[in-house]
Amino acid sequence: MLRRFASFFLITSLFSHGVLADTSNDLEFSGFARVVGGYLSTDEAKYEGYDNSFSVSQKSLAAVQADYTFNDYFSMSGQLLWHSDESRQSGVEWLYLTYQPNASWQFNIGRLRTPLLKFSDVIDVGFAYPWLNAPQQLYSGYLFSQYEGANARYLGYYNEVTFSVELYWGNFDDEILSNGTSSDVEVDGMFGGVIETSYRGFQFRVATSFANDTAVELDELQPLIQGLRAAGFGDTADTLDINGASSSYLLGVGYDSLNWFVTAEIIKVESEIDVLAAIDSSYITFGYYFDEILLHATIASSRQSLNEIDNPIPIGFSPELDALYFAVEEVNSYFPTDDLDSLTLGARWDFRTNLAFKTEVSFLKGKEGKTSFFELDVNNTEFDRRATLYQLGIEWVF
Amino acid sequence: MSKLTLVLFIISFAFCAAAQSRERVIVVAHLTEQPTSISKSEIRNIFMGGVSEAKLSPVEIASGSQIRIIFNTRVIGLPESRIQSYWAQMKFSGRNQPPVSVSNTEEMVRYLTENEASIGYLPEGIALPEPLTILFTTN
Repeated sequence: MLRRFASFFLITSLFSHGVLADTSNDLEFSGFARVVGGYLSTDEAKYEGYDNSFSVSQKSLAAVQADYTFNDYFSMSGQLLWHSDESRQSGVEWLYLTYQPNASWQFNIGRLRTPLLKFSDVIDVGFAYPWLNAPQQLYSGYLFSQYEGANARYLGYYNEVTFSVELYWGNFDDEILSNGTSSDVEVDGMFGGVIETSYRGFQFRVATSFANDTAVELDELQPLIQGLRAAGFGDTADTLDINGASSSYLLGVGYDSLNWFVTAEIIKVESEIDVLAAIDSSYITFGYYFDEILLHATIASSRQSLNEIDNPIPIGFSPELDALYFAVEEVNSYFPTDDLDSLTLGARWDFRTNLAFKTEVSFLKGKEGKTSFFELDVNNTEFDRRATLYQLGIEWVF
Repeated sequence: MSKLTLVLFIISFAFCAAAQSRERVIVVAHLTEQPTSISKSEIRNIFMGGVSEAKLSPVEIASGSQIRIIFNTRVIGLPESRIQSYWAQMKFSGRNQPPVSVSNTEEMVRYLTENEASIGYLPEGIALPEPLTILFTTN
């Protein structure tokens, strides 16, 4: 942990002393950092890594971005990111080449971030959005956050309406953490599109993402799958083989004014993988500015319809079959069932043009028998899936 | 502080605030073609990184200046903190870069004069060199 925080202080102190300040007209360095502390009101579960002891090691991070301009058309960008959370990988977050033939067209190729939700591609840049913790029902980590591939973006206008259209295609191969369990996920052929329009203060966004061939490696399941096949339950074994397509659809609306804003997003995720569920999630945020201070409130919700695995194994015939039966039951409770309602109240104070102090409290209300984004034993009936998360933090861009 | 001093202070503060709110901003460009009119929404679009028929490159005055606050309030229609977070999103998502920034009005006049097809904002009444044209005046 000390080593991880040493990296943070190295990055931020280099910027503080101007060591990584702009070195030439062609090469520019910039970056962002955040220190976030949080406390969860219960000791029965964890939420976003927080438990009932104050911690700054879940959401704190620092990043350096280098942009090199070759000429009027070509440039290259790279972003090195350091996370305090040991379960998230630190390293190269972005690395891409840009070709911009004119003001309307932009093409990128390399390692890029997936642009599905309004803040998906800047989820680590807390300065860019009002919350400390963007609504987890939509922004949780198991959507594919980055890809290696290419995108094309077009900016246009018609009278007072401006619009952008983006198409992307690529592959994803990374470790994903969900409810404290990590798994290797490989997606061959991920593609999607985003259309954003704005008229005066109004914004409208639709986005889709399709993952043709998603393969999830869960080593813990392999002995069970082999046991089921050996015992003649091939159909049940097939449902545990996580391989198939998934699709996401997003609709977002918003209005920004001098004194207040409202923004809302709704996402629907569908999957043909038996044990992964369909998810419907949404949030609405209202914010009001009092000079440099923003007060905001967010209501968010998610509903997951889980396809339970049929358990055709007869019980009471032999100890081996009994063991298989209980193993399948165990697996049924292994996959996340993230039904969660939340209310978040927060404040943001921009006390410098590049520094913001934030504080927020989230009232979480999950469902009994479900994981509800908590890290817990799903059979724990003592915990009523209600908790309060308190957070404060500082956001910095440089 | 006597009551009279306090009353005078409040009155003078109120007059200052009223005077400040009456201050107007002109949007000025170094045009290469014949002057054309430009709407407030088009100016907003240019300064928020969008494309427009005018094909002008925006120049802003650094944060903290009164003229910038008036421009943001009356033309962009967003508070300073929202504009800063918007540009953080554009920059770190690789979508766009914020406008060129100058430190004061003198530098703005110099930059606009030296760079064709640039557009910026200045306080009304300022002396303008020949290549600069007023395209818009705020209320």
